[in-house]
Amino acid sequence: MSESSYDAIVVGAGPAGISAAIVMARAGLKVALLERGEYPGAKNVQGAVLYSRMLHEILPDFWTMPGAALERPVVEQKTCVTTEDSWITFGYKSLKFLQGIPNCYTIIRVKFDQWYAAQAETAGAELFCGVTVREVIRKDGRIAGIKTSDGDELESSVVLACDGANSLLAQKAGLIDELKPVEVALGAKEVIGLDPKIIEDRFQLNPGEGSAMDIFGSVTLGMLGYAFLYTNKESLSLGVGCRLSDYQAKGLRPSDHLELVKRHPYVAKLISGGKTLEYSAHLIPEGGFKSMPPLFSDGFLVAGDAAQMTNPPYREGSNIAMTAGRLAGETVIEAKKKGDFSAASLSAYQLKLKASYVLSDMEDIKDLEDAVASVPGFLEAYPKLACDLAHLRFSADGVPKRQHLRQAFRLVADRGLWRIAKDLWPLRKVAI
Amino acid sequence: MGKKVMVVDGDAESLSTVKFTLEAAGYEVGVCENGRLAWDAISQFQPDLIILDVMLPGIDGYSLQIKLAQEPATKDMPIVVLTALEPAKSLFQKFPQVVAFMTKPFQPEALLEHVHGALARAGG
Repeated sequence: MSESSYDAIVVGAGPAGISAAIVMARAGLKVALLERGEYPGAKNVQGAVLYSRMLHEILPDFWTMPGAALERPVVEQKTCVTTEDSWITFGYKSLKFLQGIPNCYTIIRVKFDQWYAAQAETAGAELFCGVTVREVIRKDGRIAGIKTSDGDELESSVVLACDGANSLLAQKAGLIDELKPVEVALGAKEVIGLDPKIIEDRFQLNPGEGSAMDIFGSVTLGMLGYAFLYTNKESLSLGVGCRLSDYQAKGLRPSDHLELVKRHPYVAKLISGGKTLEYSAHLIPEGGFKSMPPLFSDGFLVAGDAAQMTNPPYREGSNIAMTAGRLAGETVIEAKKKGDFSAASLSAYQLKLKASYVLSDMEDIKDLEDAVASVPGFLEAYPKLACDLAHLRFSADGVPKRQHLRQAFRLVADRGLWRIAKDLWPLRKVAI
Repeated sequence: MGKKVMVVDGDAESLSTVKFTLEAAGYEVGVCENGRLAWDAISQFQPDLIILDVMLPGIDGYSLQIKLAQEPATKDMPIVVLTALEPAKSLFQKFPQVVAFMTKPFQPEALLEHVHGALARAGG
């Protein structure tokens, strides 16, 4: 590794770090991009769906670039609400998703991250893999570089912590507390190999197109969380994630939970005949807005999952990380021009995040999980009510329809109209 | 023959240091760098004690710990968690078989003390 000092050291070659590195290297800054894994993406477990616009702002028209590591452009986004033997699906499919800037792509992170990191190298950043950062170096009270696990010291004007969920760097900088079971999710995922033609038939897709689906209800066994199913080129990504405290209370292993999800009749049909290629399981800190560490200090910025920047109900994370990485990079470029890397100078990063969608979106959903968790049985009762009502609507059982209507009113009245309104009111935040 | 210790660690540098430390103390050491391969490696090696990292690729140390705590073959096996992720300490406290939680960088003497102690308690 080069011993010379850098304008910026970016720790973590994921969406946030690579984005920051590209932006800074393009502006002529000397940038080191450090990755703990053998290669970018080696340690990653994301789903994954990537919203395009934020990457387009960094790499214009990236989907036309040769070798772009994308799976399928998503034309249909669906939500499925399940009970054990019934399910309601609703979704939105639009060819508009393919026009202009395609809305989102399914990606396989291990491939995508390597490709994206290569773009940072093309821009002039120096990428070093297999480097674990152990400590931050402090000089005169400010962070002035890092120390690796094999004892190398690298100096820089600024260090960007983009080392993902469970950020060691934010921890070393004293910005992260202990993980709490209610603020941590446990996720399990399988990549299931399936012939592309079968995928397209089952999901009613034209060749090359993709779909993304979130599944709520009985599949999470009353725990706070959801399952997802995404179509890749030649595989499906099927995963489930719930609060760790819920898994602890239930005494259930995520691997066993994923097996139960696979057995739900709706899921079972979609993955039938597939071959499990890969299984992953990880702790995922999901404290969100309330658990965000300070985003800047003297010579230090935090971006992406390292700063808890996720929006699970909207399935956003990697796109937010890209925006945050870009804004962190732009902040560093301005700081370099001023020759001032103090906290006051770097605080512009927080203002940029406030002016963007990042912080406002996270703030809007900050109480949503607690609201849902505060209603016992929320994720069982409402899917069941919805399925029971749908069953009445779609059954011709010889009973006069006016009795169906009375029955439907009774189902709603049993729960209580006011209670339903109160329970569902917090969901307005994720309605649009 | 020395007791058998399995080291599961995603950081190659740390893995080789732990291996060297334990072998120098007379233990037979098995190693695994990847969480996905760890269960098979443990089943095959049948260690007397496991040293477990948390931030492993594929399947992380916490997910492995859940399995280790539930499987009859491993539920009583002493485990020393050795990780850079200090905030995870509270999460491991609920597992009785976790005899120590150590953070990286570690002192070899402290690691050996925990390993010696745990194996002595487990029946010498």
